[in-house]
Amino acid sequence: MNTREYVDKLFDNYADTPDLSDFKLEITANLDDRVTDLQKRGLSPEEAFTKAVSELGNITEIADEISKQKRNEVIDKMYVHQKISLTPKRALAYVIAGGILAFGVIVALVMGFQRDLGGFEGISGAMGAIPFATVAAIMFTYLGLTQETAANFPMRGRRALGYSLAAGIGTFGIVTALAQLGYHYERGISASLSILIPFLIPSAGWLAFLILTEKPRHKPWVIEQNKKHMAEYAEKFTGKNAEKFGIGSGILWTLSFALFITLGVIFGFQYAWLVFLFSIVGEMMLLYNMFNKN
Amino acid sequence: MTGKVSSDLLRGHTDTIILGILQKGDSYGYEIYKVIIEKTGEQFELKEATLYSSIRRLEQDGCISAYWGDETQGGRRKYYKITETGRMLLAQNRLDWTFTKRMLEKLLEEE
Repeated sequence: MNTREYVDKLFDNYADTPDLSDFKLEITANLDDRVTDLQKRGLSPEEAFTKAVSELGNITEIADEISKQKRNEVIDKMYVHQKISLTPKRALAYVIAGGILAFGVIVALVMGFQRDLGGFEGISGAMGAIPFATVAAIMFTYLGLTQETAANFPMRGRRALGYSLAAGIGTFGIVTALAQLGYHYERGISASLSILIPFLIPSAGWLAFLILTEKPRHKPWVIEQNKKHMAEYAEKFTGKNAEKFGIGSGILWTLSFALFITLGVIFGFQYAWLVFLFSIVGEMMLLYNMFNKN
Repeated sequence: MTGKVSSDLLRGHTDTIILGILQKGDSYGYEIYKVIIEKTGEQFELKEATLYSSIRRLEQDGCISAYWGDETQGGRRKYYKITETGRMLLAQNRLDWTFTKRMLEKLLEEE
């Protein structure tokens, strides 16, 4: 085999990081030089290869170092910094968004009172809030999604923008419909709905598409924790246990419904629903029993 | 009775040895290895792993810096160059070694 194959096989079990690839390249180049030199001294290719390889020593220890380093770097960057600090720019953006929203609310209130309407028509004041609410919704959605939290990575700007626009359109529709409700109260809800639908449906559809095509943004430590929890659950809910738990739950709830109807007929349904409180307790006891078994 | 190279002792000074070689000029892994073998007349059985460990340590401590050479001799080689920190460490280690040598000689004097 040639030197490159040999080195690759040496590090077969190690995760391929750029650092490791560089190192493997370096070792291989040096190994080749050594083999060439030994051949110049009169050794056969095989002898040269064997001798050169024997001079390597415990090289995989270094790969251990490399992968440990990489792991530590990764963990350090992603786990230890649980306190996420806010940049002044973001803080300012949040404040401005909040301010815009507050301003919109004030405008709405003023307009609502100005029309000197008591009661439900006052909601027409929402007309004034439309631009502010929409802008605030867009800003808050964008800021919230691109915010790095202890558990999640920030979303990419472009995608967050998509969400924000969907939120903006939806908000626009809702607030306008509310205003419409106040202005044309006599016409009833149908007028409002006709405003709401052309904005809300596309917005909801777009939002649904974004959510369905969303990739998880969890930080590694969250993923690790989830894996651990899953493993624990898998341990507890093994075959027989799971079956017992399932059948037990089935008995419990069928009984509850039976009792509910019986008691309802006898004593009246306003009291019969209490049965379900007891069945919830029963369900939790089943769960407790399940986790108690080792 | 001839002397014998104490591999352990020399291994502890690998860092200094490499710095000393690089002080004379940039070099790459195998070249450094060759210099050591030739200078010690192949008495020092240096394993390449020891060499690589040392080099990585020196790089991490900022005593040497690495760069990739071009393909003039068929194959990119990783060259190392000694840094200012490295030169200072080398000078200090040389002083320490001279001092230690003198102390040992004094203690081993056959009076």
